[in-house]
Amino acid sequence: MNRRQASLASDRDPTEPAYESGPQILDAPARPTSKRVPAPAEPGPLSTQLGDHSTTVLVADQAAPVTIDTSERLNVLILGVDVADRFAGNTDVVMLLSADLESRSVALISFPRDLYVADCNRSSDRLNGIYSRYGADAMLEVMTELTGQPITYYAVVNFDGFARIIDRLGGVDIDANRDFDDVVPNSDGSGEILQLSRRENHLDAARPSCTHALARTTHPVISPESAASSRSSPVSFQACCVPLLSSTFPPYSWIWAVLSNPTSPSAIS
Amino acid sequence: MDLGGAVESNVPVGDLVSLLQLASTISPRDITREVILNDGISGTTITGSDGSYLIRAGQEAIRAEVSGATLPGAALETPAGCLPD
Repeated sequence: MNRRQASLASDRDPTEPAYESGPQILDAPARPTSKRVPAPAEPGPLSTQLGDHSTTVLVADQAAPVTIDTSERLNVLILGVDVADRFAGNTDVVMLLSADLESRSVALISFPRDLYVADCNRSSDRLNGIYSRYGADAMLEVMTELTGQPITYYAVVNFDGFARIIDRLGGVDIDANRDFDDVVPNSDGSGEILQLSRRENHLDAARPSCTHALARTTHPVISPESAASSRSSPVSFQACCVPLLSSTFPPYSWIWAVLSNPTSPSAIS
Repeated sequence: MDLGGAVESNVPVGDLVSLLQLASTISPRDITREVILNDGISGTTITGSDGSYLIRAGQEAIRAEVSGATLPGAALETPAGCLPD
């Protein structure tokens, strides 16, 4: 497989959004970064029965167990839209979650939003505009064509939803690369304050405005220094998934977040 | 788990929650993360209908990368020093 580790060199102001001036190479930070996300505080009862092509999972607050067919690979398209409380707008996060439930292996693959997808027989040319213009089914069709993988399911999260998921998972730990005090603008002209201290910060329901602002900020907030240590530390699925979902904040932070806990930080070369 | 409308999905809510719960049991060693970067997918840029620059998708390269990431054992193809303890 033709892989290489993402470039770690950056020669421009990391706070400047790259997409504003075209499809520039989205450089990773000077050093990889770190983010650790705690496991859910109370994940609830969980019971699995493997080996018969099905998994029975008992979930709290659920009357009956749900049976999942684990005999086939499960592909879910994860989309993060750039609006707060609706499922509309541009999907600045486009990720494929591909799970082999039998072997319990997962691949999370993030795609650039600025892809030109005219080859997929859509009049729209930008990947992140397909969902809002043509709907989720069209997006599934485009991504199936693009990836060559049959993608049946999708999940869309907006800014509010992102904050809610973080809360439900028990919060998220952010290792900020510096003291961070930013007013993140809302679409209505108001602003939310994202205030982080250098090093560890825990964001959860107790700091709702911060969590919300985290979803919106275009600034990298992850500590490069702490990445090195995280490379040798175990990471949970949440530690991958939440930062990746948090890629709702373009354009740098999602790369930083992904690279923060890399098992395979790579790009096509 | 009540996500309270946080996610819009065609996955039945119960299944989605169950999958999230199940996913939390997956070993970090079995998780592959790939970031397909702008500079890696062809290098060809074009101007979109709104005047912005776009990247023409290198479909073969993307498919190869996706296939590689979803192969059994892909998570083990990890750069030295990046494996969890």
